Amino acid sequence: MIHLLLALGLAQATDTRDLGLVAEPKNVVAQFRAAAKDAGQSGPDADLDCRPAFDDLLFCLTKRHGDEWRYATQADLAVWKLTSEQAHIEAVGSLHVVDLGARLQVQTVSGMPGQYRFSNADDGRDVAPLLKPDALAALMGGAPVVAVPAQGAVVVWKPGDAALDKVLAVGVRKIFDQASHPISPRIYRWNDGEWTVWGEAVKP
Amino acid sequence: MELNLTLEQVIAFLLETPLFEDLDSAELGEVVRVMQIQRVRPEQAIFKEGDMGGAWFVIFDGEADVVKRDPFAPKRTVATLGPHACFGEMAVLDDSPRSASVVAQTEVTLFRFPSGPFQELLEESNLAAYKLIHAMARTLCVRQRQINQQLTDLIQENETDALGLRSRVGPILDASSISE
Repeated sequence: MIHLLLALGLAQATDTRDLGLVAEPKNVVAQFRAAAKDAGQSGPDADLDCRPAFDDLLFCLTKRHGDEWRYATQADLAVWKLTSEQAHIEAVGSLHVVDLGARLQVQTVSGMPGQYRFSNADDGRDVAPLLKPDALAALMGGAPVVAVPAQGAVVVWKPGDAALDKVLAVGVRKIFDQASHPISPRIYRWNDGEWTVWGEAVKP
Repeated sequence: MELNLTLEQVIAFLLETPLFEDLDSAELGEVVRVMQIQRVRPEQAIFKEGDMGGAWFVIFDGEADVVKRDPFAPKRTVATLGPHACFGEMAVLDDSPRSASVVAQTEVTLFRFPSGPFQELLEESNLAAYKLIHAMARTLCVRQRQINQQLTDLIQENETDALGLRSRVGPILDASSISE
């Protein structure tokens, strides 16, 4: 998926202003810059617009271009005459309308009680569940844990069943390990007003 | 204690806070510029009854009690506030002393809007600040109507009690006055 986003993201800045946010690992900025350099681009066209999120994650700005979502760059901000802060605020406003119940589909693990929710929308709006912890808790019937193991993939469940917790944590790890664009194997919990690391399945 | 809260999370939270419902995300960005984040320990007073008001607040996380002085008790909790609740705006609107104390029940994270910078936004004719003042006025109207209704109920209750007392006590008084 990163290849698609990188390729599309390297297109010229546009005046389109349908914005979103995705979670990314910190190395995405350098990766994008390197890919841009290989494609003969540099400067604002090669710089993503990302801001620190929590743990090792960034919130990176995306923009809709036709039916596709691309990374927004500093060149886009210049065209839109927006600061990074203003653009991220505008993106949060557009994510506010995302219906988490419709976005996060109910899933079950074969042979196990309990359920989890999963989204693989890859529409540049992965961050929506992370910005609505209250709504997410209401949807899940209690404080949930959340993982963003790969681009577009969000896994949410209500922890407490040890067997299900283990299976899902391992599942998150597998998605991360096998993804073409991995984000984080860590699982996060909303705790005292911030996302903190709840756990992570590690390789034996 | 440091809180890792991003601008994105602050804006997303305020978009779901009733007092801010008339503001779009860009307008929220303008008022957030004057906002501070404050962490309060359990049982710590956010402000005390009689203090001069220098800010208004929104609870981001945790719970706080609104406490009034009571001549017949050490204190009286009149309400408990949770996330998205706004308080302290009365003192900012009319520069009057705080009408009640607000005390953290749990660890509380607050968004604090200091009066000075907020007044400056109003003086700059900032639309977002005016929308907030309008929302505060609306909130105070709702509270005033609730207080009026409670007063009316209390008066009716007292009148009913007084009538009942008179109907029970009246004949005895009459009888005793006759026997005298």
